Amino acid sequence: MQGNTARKWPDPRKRKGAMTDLLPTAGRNGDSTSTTLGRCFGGCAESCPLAGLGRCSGGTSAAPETPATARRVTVTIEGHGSASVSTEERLLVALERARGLGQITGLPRKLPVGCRRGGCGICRAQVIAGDYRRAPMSREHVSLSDEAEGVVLTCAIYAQSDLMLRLDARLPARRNCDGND
Amino acid sequence: MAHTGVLRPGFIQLRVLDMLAAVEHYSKRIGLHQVSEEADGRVYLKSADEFDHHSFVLRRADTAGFDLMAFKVRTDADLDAFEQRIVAYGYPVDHVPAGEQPGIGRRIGWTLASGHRIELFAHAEQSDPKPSAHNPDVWITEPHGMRARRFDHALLYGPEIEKNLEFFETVLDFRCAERLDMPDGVLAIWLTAGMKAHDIAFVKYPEPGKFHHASFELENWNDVGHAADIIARYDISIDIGPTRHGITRGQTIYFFDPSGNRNEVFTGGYTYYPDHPTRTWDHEQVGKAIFYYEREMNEAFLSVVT
Repeated sequence: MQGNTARKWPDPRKRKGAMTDLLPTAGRNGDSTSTTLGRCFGGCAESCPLAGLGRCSGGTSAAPETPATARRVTVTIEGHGSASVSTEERLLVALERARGLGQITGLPRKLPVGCRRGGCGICRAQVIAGDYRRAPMSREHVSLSDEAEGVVLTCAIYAQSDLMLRLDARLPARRNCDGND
Repeated sequence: MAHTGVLRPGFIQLRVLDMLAAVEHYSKRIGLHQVSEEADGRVYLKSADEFDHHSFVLRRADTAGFDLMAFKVRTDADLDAFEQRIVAYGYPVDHVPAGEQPGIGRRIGWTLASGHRIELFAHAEQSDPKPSAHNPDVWITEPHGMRARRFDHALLYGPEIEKNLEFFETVLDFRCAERLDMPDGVLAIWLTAGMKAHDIAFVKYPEPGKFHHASFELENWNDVGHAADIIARYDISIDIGPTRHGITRGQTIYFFDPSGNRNEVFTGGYTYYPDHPTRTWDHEQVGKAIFYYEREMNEAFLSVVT
């Protein structure tokens, strides 16, 4: 709390401290990754009252960069074109970019974009073929039996191979709903 | 000051899919401080500019969304008086013992017609970091992240909000500062217990118990811009903004936490006095009411909830 050390802040992108070592390496394409609990996460290193308790990490951690293992794969929306996407980016985010580039055409409705983080269920779709990695998504929108049939929230999967996607298979769960879904 | 009964929002409890990511978001990005993590896994957070023990609670679950929102009342006797009025109105009231959440006294709780659980409590311990109360500096703990000063309000979605309006006005002594009317009835209400333009708001929606956003107050418009820089730098999922609401006049950004729960950071808004008329908007100006600069609702406003 003295704050008089005139310390030079480290470049967060180069910082390799205790906290960054705790960060999981699973890519989230730039959104916040996790760190440990029970601590102050700061930006507050010199003034944080928790520093004296050894509970302040201080400083700012790096946003993860695109891992060297990222590959490009092709995602095809059944009947509506295809897009080149990275294996380390959220599929919906890649599709938003592809839509902007005019690579996805003739959708029966607007590309459904909501929270982009697996919570709201707007981007519910079905993977017809291909491999993908899942991030957390709400069970309210993808049940266990849905999951077995390849139903996903496209914002919460990462394509790991070429992928075939059906955007409007028994979907969406809640748009224009009657309250019974 | 004649502020009695319900004082203000005390805390909100939200469900998150990934606790580690949620804690990082709310502590490092929003700028809250973690007060504690309890044995059941819930994590308690606050702004350094708030006195009470916590204002934001995260619970790990397999769905995102709203658990409950609790308001602080002035005295313990208020709790008993409100319990009688709530029961007389027709809602069953249950009791949550002191300590169910750390630092919080006994609570009473019930479910609104819109499907949301609301609670009242009278006592909270204080926790660090907190503001100084003697020769007070503007802050003791240096603000970080988006520099949120407090959990300010929530917007909830559910059916029968006309009943919520009657309940909050006649039982909890709230006032309706602003409302949005459609030809077939009220679409949305903004309710206040004090002099803010809103402490809680509701939008009519077929599904009960849904959550639109939890809002954090910032000091000024420059801090809203700083929050936008943080949203871009850390690739936080954006909904809309920076912009302004016609309703409340708040200057705002909507974005999402790592579980898809919508957050708002905002500044400004008018001062409400209880003798002021309810400001009303009609359906022809609905766009301007919600997003004053764009003058149209984005598609997500009425459809993206957790």
